Parts: sequence; structure tokens; C-alpha cells
Amino acid sequence: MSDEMDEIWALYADDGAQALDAMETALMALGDGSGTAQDRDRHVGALFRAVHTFKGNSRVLGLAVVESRAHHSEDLIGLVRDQGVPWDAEIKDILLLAADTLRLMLEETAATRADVDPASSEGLMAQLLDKIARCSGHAPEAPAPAATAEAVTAAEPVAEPVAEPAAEAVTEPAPEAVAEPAPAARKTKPRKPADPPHQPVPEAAPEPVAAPVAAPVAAAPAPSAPETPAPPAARARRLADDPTYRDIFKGMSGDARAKLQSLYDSYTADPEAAPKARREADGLCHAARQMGLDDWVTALQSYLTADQTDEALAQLLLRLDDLNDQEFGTPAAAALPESGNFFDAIRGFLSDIASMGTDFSLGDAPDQARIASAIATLQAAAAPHGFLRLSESAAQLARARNATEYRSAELRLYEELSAVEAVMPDAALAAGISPRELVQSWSAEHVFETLASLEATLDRLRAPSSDRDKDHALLDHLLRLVHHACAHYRIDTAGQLAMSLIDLFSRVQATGIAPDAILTHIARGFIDTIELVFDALYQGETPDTQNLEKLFEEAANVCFVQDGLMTASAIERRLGLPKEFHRVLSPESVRAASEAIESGQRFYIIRADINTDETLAEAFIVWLSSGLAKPITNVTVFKGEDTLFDFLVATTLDDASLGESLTRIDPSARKLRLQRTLTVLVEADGDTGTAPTDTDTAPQPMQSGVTPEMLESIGEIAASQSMISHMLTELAEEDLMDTIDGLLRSHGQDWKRARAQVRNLIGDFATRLQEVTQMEAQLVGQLTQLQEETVEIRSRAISSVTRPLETFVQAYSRRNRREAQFSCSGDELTLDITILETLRKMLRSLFVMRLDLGPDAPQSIHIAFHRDEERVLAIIEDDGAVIDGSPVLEEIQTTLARSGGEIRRVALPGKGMRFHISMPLAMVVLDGMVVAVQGVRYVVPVDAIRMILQPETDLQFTVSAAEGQKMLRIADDEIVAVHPLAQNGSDSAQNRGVYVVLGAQGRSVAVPVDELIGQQLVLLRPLRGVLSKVQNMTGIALLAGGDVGMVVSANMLCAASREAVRNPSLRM
Amino acid sequence: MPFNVMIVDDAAMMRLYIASFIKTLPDFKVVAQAANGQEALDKLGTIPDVDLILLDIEMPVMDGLEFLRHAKLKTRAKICMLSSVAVSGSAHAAKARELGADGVVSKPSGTVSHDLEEKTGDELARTMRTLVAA
Repeated sequence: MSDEMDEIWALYADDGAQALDAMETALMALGDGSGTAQDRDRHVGALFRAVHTFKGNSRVLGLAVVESRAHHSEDLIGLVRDQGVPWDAEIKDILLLAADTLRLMLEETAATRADVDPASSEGLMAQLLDKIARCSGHAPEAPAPAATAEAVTAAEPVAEPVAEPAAEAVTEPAPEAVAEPAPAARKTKPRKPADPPHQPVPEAAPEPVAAPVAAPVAAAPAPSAPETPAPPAARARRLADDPTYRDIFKGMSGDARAKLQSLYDSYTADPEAAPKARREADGLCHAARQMGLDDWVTALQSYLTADQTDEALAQLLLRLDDLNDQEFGTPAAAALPESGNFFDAIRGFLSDIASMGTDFSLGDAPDQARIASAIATLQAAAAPHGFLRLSESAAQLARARNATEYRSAELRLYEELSAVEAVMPDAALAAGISPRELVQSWSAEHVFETLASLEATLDRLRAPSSDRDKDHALLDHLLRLVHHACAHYRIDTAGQLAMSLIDLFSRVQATGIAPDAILTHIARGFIDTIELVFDALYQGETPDTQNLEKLFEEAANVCFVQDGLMTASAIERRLGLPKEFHRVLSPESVRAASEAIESGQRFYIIRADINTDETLAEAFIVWLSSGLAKPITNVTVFKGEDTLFDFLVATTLDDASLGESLTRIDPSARKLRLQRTLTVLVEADGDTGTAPTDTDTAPQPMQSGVTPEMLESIGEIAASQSMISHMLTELAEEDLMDTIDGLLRSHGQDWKRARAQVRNLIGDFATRLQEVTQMEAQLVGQLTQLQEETVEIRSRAISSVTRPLETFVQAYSRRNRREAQFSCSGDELTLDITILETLRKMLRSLFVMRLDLGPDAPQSIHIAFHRDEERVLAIIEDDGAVIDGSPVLEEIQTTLARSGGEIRRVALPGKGMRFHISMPLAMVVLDGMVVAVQGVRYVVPVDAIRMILQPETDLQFTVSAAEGQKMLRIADDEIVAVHPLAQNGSDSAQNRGVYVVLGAQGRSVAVPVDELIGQQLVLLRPLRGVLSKVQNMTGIALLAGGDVGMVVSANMLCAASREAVRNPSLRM
Repeated sequence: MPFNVMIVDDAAMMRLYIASFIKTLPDFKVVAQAANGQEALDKLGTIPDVDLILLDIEMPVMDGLEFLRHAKLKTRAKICMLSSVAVSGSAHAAKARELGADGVVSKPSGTVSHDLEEKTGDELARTMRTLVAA
């Protein structure tokens, strides 16, 4: 542990220095802000990231004072970056002072490994808070979480206010102890909302999260509604007048009082008691100053400036008791909630459950009686409002058997409380409690784990062995967390899309079948896209959300796509429907409308005032069902207090006839009126209105699709096939002999007279046969084109996988407070998307496993790809810790073994690991030259072809010393072995002296062939079972025209040739 | 013992169709009907044993989404949106899910769907049973 800590502190010093260098560079570049807006934005972004990094590092090491200074600097920069506050010289000066101060703090903390004295930087804090207050139109900011924590030594976690210990996976005690206030103690939005009290986790958290507290949430734009400036009177108030901060301070002073008492008791025995008491008093003094509690400051300063004797400490304790009574009165009175405010009434409850959660995380299971008491408090507050579900949700806390379950229950409870906040926003605001913001910020901070769990759940749902109800429930929960995270960043479309997916999956669940490919495709696209969006946000960049709009459109159209229908919007467009009908057409309505358009019917909107007239309503519905008119859909129209309906109907009736029909039902002609006659627009060229299937709406590169060109090819092939079939049928039905007999008979069996006509007849027959042959050739060409398009569309560069992985590695590493570098070579190679998808999942799992090694995680990861005609090899090398094995590796091995692949790991000398992942190229896309030998088709990889020759005979010769091995001179100084492809080893009789010279592994071999048929992209399938023993062949490929070709292995041929020459007895 | 159902829909005809359909399901019984969200909230206070609420979205006085926001806090009843605007994956369906709708079924032919039983009957019955069983 000591070595690790040395390394961490060294890293802290290095990273911190770099961050401060970057901060100064950005400040210098910004100057007075007179550059272009683009430059200014860039520099402010860099400045923000630098300070954010520094703050995060300080936080991880529990340096509360350092963190608080960085945090406020970051807040000030955030106002410029996100809130439109203009950059000015004052901000620059303050931040330069901050940079200098932070550098001094860095040097001191790196040397002492302890936090700094806050006093020396109070001037900077005052300037920061003052400037922030002026820029944001608020009262000077409260002692922020870290600032309040200054009264707490890093090694001594406090009970109140406490937050986010996340202690299950963290062994170092300090960082989480100095953290955020408990939810009840949090302002609605004094600045960025932070974590819920102690990191409730989703049920599906894939693994314990090592350091969620370090997640770079602060890089986010302000998540809550724009703040309204506080009124002047409020601005002048002390923080001590704010009940939230009063509670915080009350808790702090109580803790400090208890510690000082304890130190007083051990004063004579403990030589460290005096300096400890001083630090305690100093911390409390600082907090009192920020609260505006002058009497407290005076009392504490008196102690601090005098000799800290035990007598002085005793006097201080008495004085603190007096001040406590004066400021807070009796504890019972202070704790009384404001009458009627639900959120005030549950303040104590929230504080209690946060505290118990902390205890649980630290291994101390809460007392059931204490939980029951807390829950009773909530239930008492909820009962008058009838909040049944809230009470039941709270009861889940008592059932938690471990900290994880407790946190999950707490998260659910906060979601319920968010629902209460939605219906009582004013009460929540008045109480300064916002469960919604807490849930959202927590979700944002853990979004990457949530997305990983989501992807895994999606995989399980598609598997036959899925426990569907359980997985659907989990999927629902995880998508809600993503929704909250999106709400935190105000990515409305993404949040809405998450809920749309919940809707779509829930409807699938009701059917009891597995989600289909279209829905899974949309969900995967959503996960991939949103991951990049969050990554961009964490880096302080503007995310590209364009793809989300497309995905949402796909989600909204999924029911039409599944049914192969025109989309609702296409019908809306063609009928020119008014806005009331926008997005209300169900698939049934779309189908009915499509059929009516096809059959040339007219469309009308009939306004029906039938809601209060049951008889008329019945008569109208009967008419609609009579077949005279087809009801397409209808919408509600509110007119004052009346509820009317607009019915869209299709009918063959003209306006007059329709009016007549309606009058028969409603003689008054007031309750059923023809509102509008619609005109069906003629379809524009290319606007088929069908559901989108083209590739430009495909959100992820892994997804192949059918292009319009392919559809066209398929259509042409179908037409050609139909024509050939027709022609062959005609030919087959024609009895040529019978016709010739007829001709002879008609010419009196005189052949000479009949000859010309018979010749014409046979000529005509031959011509038609020739046409069939030509059509067949055309069909083969079309099939070739289709196959090439199919093959091409399944082929992707490996970079389509490595690029997102690079982003992922960097983001995941940052989340773990590391800076892993990712590099790659060979990713320009192309692979089939099935292999790429498998590879992506394995690499991602592998990287997560390595990056979760904490201080031993790699800082550099390089991956190199190699491909031959049979396998793809990925070599991953990193500088992380050596491991013997892991469940992740076993899972990868299992996956690979199923397809004949393998993973090997090698411990590198010193430090680092190398992993070799080898995968067979199942369904590899191959650019091949199709050749014929003795009537058999072979495919030779074009990459392996060195040359194609038709040499003079004298260039071939036999080496008798090598048992008659035939050789071919292909250049003046190069002779290569001749290796026939035919299984009997003999040259083809039909061989026209054409040789294809292949090269591999530094060797060459000449292969005699009968015919060069042509180059094709083919889909190679490896040989399985007994076929795998066929020599010198990699696999088979379906060729255009329906032939099957054997795919030649240049590697094997060259190797075999070498052996044959070296050892004639082994010649094949 | 059949499950108790409340129908909330501003269209009188639609309430009739839904009630008529539920009569065909022996395991469900309509115990209350309301023409808007506010009326439904009031009735929930007096009829506490509702197991399932079939809820329209577009209604006067208080629409279905606002009702959902309040009712989710105050009742254990499962709430199934039954609306023409809540097409699969649409913004309305998403909003309903966000507010806690336990199920969403689209009306097949608009806000007054006389063909509810014929076209969506199976789906609705299956969803209702799934919800009350959960």
C-alpha cells in the first residue's frame, strides 16, 4: 500500500503541475478576451478542463481546502463558459491568483501529504465568492460542501453532514469523508448539484464502482432551470439565516464541540491534543465566518490567538454552549418543521437514511429500530397527502440486506420523492430540497456503468435463455436512469428516446416474445450514440445529438416498419391532414388509409358533437360500420366545455352524397357536419412514404442494411428469372418434332420443299434458346452485382470499432481518475460486421477489466491488428499490472472457443501484459480471382496473387533430384515450384499454360489453371468438420451464378511447396 | 374475485365500448367511470379498491398525464394508458412512461374506437392481466 500511495501522490504532483500549466497557458491565451469568440470559447474550455482536473485530483486525495479553491475557480469559469458571463480583466486576475495559490498548495500538499491551512487562501476565496455572486446575481455563495468540510480532517469521516462514502469498493478512508452534504442539507441549486447522499447504485451496476465520487460531473452545463436572481433583501441576508445552512452548521458545531470535549478530556495525556484542538477550532471558525456568525468567530479567534491551554479550551467549550443556545435555541424547537411543508417534515428522515447508508457502506448495518423510526417519520409526513407509494418505497430500506440493496432502495425512494416534487414544486423549493436534481446528478455521474449494464441486459434479452420478465424490469430501470442522466444535461430528445424505448420494450414484453431486430437495432444505436454524447459532455465539448433525432424518428416509426407500412407521417403528408391529426395515426389507421388511397376513395373530416347524445352517437357509429364510409381515425376537439370529435373517413361518396347521408342521421344538421374535404396528393418521385430503411438512418456502423441499389438489383433479378422461366416454359411446351412432321405432311412428305420452312423453324428455335442463354448470362451478372453489394455492405474497417473504443478507453479511464492513452495499428483492415461486433464486445470487456485495476490500471494501451486469409489476430499490449486470470478472460475464452478462436496472455518483463486474440475469419469478405481447373471453380485471394503468366513451354522444367518436381521460371533470377490444384496432383489436360503465381510467407508457388473466370468479392465460409481436412483450401464461397468455389489458401500452398522441395517424400 | 377497473375517458361512447369489452373478461369488473382526470382523482378517494385504471390522455379539466402524475403517488392501482395518441414509441407514449404508466395500449381507430375489441382486444386483455398480476 505504501508503494501505491507513493505512486498516487507522485501522480497527483505531476498531473496537478500539468493542469496548472494548462490553466496558466489558457489564461495567457485568453488575455483580456479580445480574441475571436471561437478562440475565446476554446481557451475557456481548456481552462475549465484544467481546473476541473486539478479539482478532481485534489478531491480524490481528500484535500478539501485545495479542492474547494479549485471548485470555486471552476464555478467562476463555468459562469463564463455556460452562462454567458463576459470575460473581463477582473476574472483573469482572480484566476491568475487562483493559479498561483493552487500551485503553492500543490507543492505543499505533495510534500506533506496533508491538506493546507485554509487561512492563507481566504483572500482568494473571498474574491472568488464575491465575483461569482456578482456575476450570477446571487448572494455570496454558501460554504460549499468541500468548504464546510474544512472543519473535518481528512482521516476522520464525520457523521453529519456526510455523503458518498462509496466505501464498499474503496479502501482508502479519506476521500469520501470530505464530500457533499446530505440531501436534506442541500440547497435547491446553489451551484452544480452533486451526489445523492451516499451513492445509491442501480440494481444492475455491473461491478462495484471504485471511485464514483471522482466522476467529472462538474464539466456539465448547469442542469437545473435557470436561476432567478435573489431579491435584494435575500441577497443581504447571512447564510446563517438560511435554514439549510443553519442545519449544516449546527451539525458541524455539534461535532466540533464533541471533538473538542474529547480533546479536553485527554489534554494532559495526549501531547497532540493542543494542535488538534487548534485545527478543530480553526475549521469551525472558518465556517462561522462564512455563515456570518460574528459572535462565534470572536469566541473562536480568542481561543486561537491565545495560548491553547486546557483552561482556554474549557472556556471555549462553555462559550460554544452559550452560543449554541443563543443561535439555535432548544434542539426540539430548531428541528420543528414549518407547518404543512412536506419536504420540511421529511428533512430529518432524509438525513437519517443518509447517515444509515453511510454506516452500511462502512460495514455497520443500521439498527432495524432506527430504520423503522425513520420510516415512521416519513409515513407520518406522507399520510396526510395520501402518498401511499412513497411509504411503501421507504419500507424497502428496512428490507435491504446489504449496502448495495440499501442504496438501490434509496435510489428508488428518491425517484418516488422526485414524483412528489413534480406535484409540489413550490414546497420543495421552499425547503431547499430537490430529490429530482439529486437523482439526475447521480444518474449522470454513473451513466457509463448504467450504459454498460444496459448493453449487457439487451444482449441477454435476445438470448433464448433470458429470464425475460426480470430482464425487462431491469431494462426499464436502467433506461430510466439514463433518462434522468439526460435530464441532468437537458438532452431532451435523448431523455424522451429512453422513455420511448421503455414503451417499445414494454409492449414487446406484453407479447412474451424476444425483442425483434429492428427494436434491438434502435436500442443499440441509442446506447452507442448516448455514450459518445456523454463523453463529449464530460470533456466539456458540445455533443453531436443529430443522430438522436433520427433514432427517435425510427422509434416513433417502429410499429410501421415492423408492419411494412407507410409511415403515419407519409399519410399525413399525402392527405394534408390538419395538425390535430399529427402523430395520432395507429398502424391500423395507416393501413386503412393506404388501402383507401390505393382504391381511389375520397377523404373527409366530419365533426361530431355526439358525446352527450348516446342515440345519435350509436346511429353515427352504425353508419360508420355500414361500409358506406370507412373510419380511419378520430381526434378530440375541445370547444369550451364541449367535447367534440373530428372523424377522418374515407368513402366513395361525393360531398353531396355524404352530406345527405349525415343529414339522415342528424336531421338538425348541427351535430354532424362535414368539416373538411381532403385532397389526396400525388406521390412525388422517390417519395414512397415507406418506413425508412436506407443506410443513412442507420445509427451505428455495425449495422448492415439493404440499399436502394440492392433493392433495384433484386427487382431486376426477379424480373430476369421470371422471363427466363417463361421462355423456357414456352420452349418446353413446343413439340419441335411434331411441328416438323406437320410441315412434312403439308408438303406431301417432300423434304426438299419443306426444307426451307424446317430450317426457319429450327433457326427460330435456336434463336430463342440463344435468348435464354443471354438472359441467363444477364442474370448471372445481376447476381454477381448483388453478391458484391451484399458482401461490401457487410464489410467494415476495423477502425469503425477502434475509434469508439478509443473514446471509451479515455472516458472510462478518466472516470477512474486515470489518463490512459490508446493507440492502434492495422485497423484499416476490413472484416465482416459479425466478427467486428464480437471483437468489439471482447475488447471492451478486456479494457474495462484492465482499467478497473485502480492504481495498477494501464496508462497506455496499444492494439495491433493482423489478418491473413484465415484468421484475424489482435495483439493488445499495455503497461498495467500482471494478472493471472479473471472471469472476464474466461468469458472471452469461452466465446472465442465456440468459433475456434483463442486468447493468450503474456506477462511482459517488468510491467504490463500482452493479450493475443485470434479469431477465425468466419464469413470473411474476400476479393478473389475465380479460376477453373478440371471443371472445378477455385477462388484465389487477389491479395496473394503476384502475377498471372502464360509462359513459353521452355520456361517449365522438371527437377529430377526433387522427384520430378515441376518448376517454372518466372524471372531471370527466380524459379518457383509448380503446384497443381487438382487433387490427383496432375496438370489439367485442358491447361492452356496459364499460371497464377501466389506469394505468401516469403515463398511463391505457380498454380496452373484452365481458365481465368474473373474477379469477384465473395463471402468466405471456413470449412467445418470433415471438410476441414481438405488440403490447401481455406473455405468455400458461393459464387455468382450459383456455383460453389473452393477458396485457395496461399499460406498452405506456399508452405506445402517449401516442404515438397525440401523433402520430396512429402510431396502431395 | 374479479379485479376492479376504473375507466377514465371523456368520450361517453368510448367508455361504453371499453366497459362492454371488459364485460367479456370474467376476471375484471368495472367499478367506476370518470370523464376526466379530476373526476377520477375524486373517485379514487371514495373507491379505494381499484386495481386497474384504464386512462385516456386527451381529456378536458385534467388530462390523463396530469392525472397520472398525481395518481401514481396516491394509489396502488396499476395504470394503463389507453389512448389514440400513445402510439408505440411516440412522444405521448414516452411521456406516459416517464410519469409512471404501467402499461400503454393504443386505441386502434382514434379517440373513439368502436373497433377496440376487434382490433386491440387481445392486446388490451393481455396487458391488463400482466399488470394486475405484477
